[in-house]
Amino acid sequence: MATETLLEIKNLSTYFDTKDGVLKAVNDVSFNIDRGEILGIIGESSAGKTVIASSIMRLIPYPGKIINGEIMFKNENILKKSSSEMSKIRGNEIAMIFQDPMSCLNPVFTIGDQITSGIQAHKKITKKEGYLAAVKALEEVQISAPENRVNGYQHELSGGMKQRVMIALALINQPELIIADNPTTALDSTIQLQFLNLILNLRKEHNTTILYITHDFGVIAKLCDRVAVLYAGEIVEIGTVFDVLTKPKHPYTIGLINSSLSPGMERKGIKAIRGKTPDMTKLKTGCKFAERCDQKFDDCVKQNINMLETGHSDKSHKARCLLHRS
Amino acid sequence: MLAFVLKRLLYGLISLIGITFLVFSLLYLTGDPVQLMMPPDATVQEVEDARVRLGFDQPFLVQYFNFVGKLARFDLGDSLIRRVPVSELIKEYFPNTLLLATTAYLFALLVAVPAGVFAAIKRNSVFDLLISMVVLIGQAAPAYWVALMFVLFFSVQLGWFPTGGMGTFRHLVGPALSVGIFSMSRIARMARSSMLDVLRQDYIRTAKSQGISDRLIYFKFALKSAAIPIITLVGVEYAVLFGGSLIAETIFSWPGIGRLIVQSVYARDYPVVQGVVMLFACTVFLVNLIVDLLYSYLDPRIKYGKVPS
Amino acid sequence: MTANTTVTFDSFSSSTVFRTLKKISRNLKGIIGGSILVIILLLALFAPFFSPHDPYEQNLEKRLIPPSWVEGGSKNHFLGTDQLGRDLLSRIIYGSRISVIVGLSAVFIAGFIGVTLGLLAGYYQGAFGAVIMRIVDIFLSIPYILFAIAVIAAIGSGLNKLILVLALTRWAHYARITNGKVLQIKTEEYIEGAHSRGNSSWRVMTRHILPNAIPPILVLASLELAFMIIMEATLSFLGIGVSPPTATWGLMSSEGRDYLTIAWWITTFSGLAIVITVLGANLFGDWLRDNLDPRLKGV
Repeated sequence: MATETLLEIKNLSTYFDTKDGVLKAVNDVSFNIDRGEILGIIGESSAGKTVIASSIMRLIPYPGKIINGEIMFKNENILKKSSSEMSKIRGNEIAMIFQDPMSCLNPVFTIGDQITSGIQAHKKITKKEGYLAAVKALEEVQISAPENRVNGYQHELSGGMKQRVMIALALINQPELIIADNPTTALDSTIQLQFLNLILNLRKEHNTTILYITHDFGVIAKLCDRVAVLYAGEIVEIGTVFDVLTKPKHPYTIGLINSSLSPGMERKGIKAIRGKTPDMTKLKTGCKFAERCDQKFDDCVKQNINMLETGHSDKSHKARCLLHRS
Repeated sequence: MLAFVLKRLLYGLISLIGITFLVFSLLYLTGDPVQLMMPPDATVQEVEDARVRLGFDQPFLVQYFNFVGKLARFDLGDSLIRRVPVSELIKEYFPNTLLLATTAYLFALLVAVPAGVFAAIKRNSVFDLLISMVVLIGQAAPAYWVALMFVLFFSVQLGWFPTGGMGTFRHLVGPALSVGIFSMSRIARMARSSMLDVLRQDYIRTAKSQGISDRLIYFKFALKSAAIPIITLVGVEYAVLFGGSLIAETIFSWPGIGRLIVQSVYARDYPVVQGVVMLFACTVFLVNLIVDLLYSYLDPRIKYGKVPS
Repeated sequence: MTANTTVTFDSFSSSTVFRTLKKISRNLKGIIGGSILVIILLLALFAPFFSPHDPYEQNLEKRLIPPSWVEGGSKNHFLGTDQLGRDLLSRIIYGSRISVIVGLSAVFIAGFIGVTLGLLAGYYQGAFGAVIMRIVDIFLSIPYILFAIAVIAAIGSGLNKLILVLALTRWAHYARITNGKVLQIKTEEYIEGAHSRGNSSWRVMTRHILPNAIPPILVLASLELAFMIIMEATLSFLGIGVSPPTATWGLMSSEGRDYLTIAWWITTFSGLAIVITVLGANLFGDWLRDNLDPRLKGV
């Protein structure tokens, strides 16, 4: 099957003009996702993962702005699209599942109303048809008594149920690209497993492309084809899951893997990375990880480093590290 | 829902009783309530007769119950100056005040709420800044000054509007505007901040991510939540509008109960003052009740007893 | 393409001049509002010093002189004179004294009553608290001007009575805010800690709870100041506030009303003084609210 690049991000930079200074949340980020692929993005909390997602959806909150770059979706730069054109894409071709579902649903409208509105934004259907579709969608995410739930309100649902409604909302128009931002943090582990299976099924049956954001390597291992490691707003390593997890090339990735607990590992095997993440309003040139790295050279802080190819096979495996200078 | 309505009615009733008690107690502020109820030229004998006749020789609580009893029969005593029952005066002048207050209220709603909402939607635009400035000044200018400036500029200088009296729609504009400016500013401001608050919420982000059009998001999904604090304020503002009508009526010679009460204070016609205060208090109580019930209809959490009122 | 845009953003937005300007624009409300209040306070305190004439000096030959920039005006009387030949500017400057005195006193008294009752109601709760809050609700629903008028009709007018009446009309607002804040603070752990260390109720209330309830009370106080000034002016305008010949902005507007068409400056400038002062108080209060706690929506 010929691979088609569905999403191509080129030199994306998104900054926030806060009162403490300019926060450079995403710095010159580039990566591609092929159709039917599941790409994971992993990194610590303030690394910029969610901002990348918001940038693709073009839903960046004030005071953020996309400063630079191109986002090619199906070969069109969506950064150049108008507001109404974007509305046609959101919820229809690209959908997003947000991290914290607690306040994601409107408290003064019924669940059914909100799901139906999501359908009606893109298709002409009657309210009745909408409600039926909503019931079906809730069934598919395994919410019990969906006929009652559609007429109910969000305050009647638990956190896990809210997240499942959010998932239903995202999937309802069968989007080609789904961006999932830590979608299972509110769910318990059995539901997590079900959700992961759901994702895999989507790819199998509809060839849906997934961008999966998480800070859990275990999930990456189970779910993703490729993974990008994000640090201080930059991608520091990207490659297949197998390559990155078994042969990590960037010191940050190595540190991150070492500091995660996996089954069978003893607790004392964990090593935290020394130091802390840099202040995103005062980023310096050169490698952003240099201060915390035990293997740095003088050159590391002199200039910004490009992604360098480290892979030996035909599969690309890049790292932003001078250790792999050829 | 029923439980909520009943509870609210009960609270309201208690408040109403409290208000009547308060108004009644006002009589005692100077020591001898009978003096207040008699014209200043009354003889000592007339005062003593009145004391017995009006029941002021009874214990306090008995007097209070008599008062409430009379209230229930709409007996508010007689005007000292005009020698007619206070209730007659009220019947004559109250509708005019109602007209004025309601017009000002409608002005406020139809102008202020959309202005505030649009300022929020077009945040930091020229429109937004303009509205913000007008709102600032509107809240700083006393109603009487606005009224007088209106008269000076629009009536005297430009001659577009009459300087007083009641009659045509033109007569209504000046008073309604003066009464309304303060409230309009507050309402516009609240509408703006309420809308901004709602637009910041996660659930609006969800709606946007679903691809729902901006128009629908603003006018259906955001507005319903934003409306709740706006309505609360709007209910409160009705009371302010009523109070403001006092000034406007005085300046524009509008024949309403605001002007009535001011005249009565000058003339020391206390029964009228007391009667009008009671009327106002009851009207405000009613409006607040309606607002609360509307509020509960809009916010399902209250309807289903999830959020204590 | 990339390099240029990022460099421009960087150097521009991190230059100190730009950042200082930004800081000023963010705090503009507080700066302007605070300055206005300080100026008014200075005018009130040092009125004799700033005022070019004696505000009570009547000169019937110099009645109704227009402001100096209008034809017929005089450089001697910058804002003109009133119907008794008194210099308008001086009267306005002295008028600030009344506004400041009445405003601050009424706010202080109302605040004292309201905060105390709110604190007690919130701390002890129970039936006692419920009764107090019911009374608060009643006072909150009474139209202010009306209530003031009714009380003044009963007890008569005058400066002291005016201040008392104003305080009586507004204390409930302080009580409501204080009560709400106290209830919120009570749930926090350090209060339990204070109790377990054997502090008496009184101590807990004043040393631990009250200081944390201050911020919203301060915001309310500045907004209330604005309200009191308008109220005093309105009541004086109606003739039931402060009596002549005291120079108060409200009274001046009322006196000027009879001459509105021939001497617009009396009413206009006395009213303008109020607008500017109240604007200052509102701006300052807003700034306080923005900076003390962005979630103060109930105030």
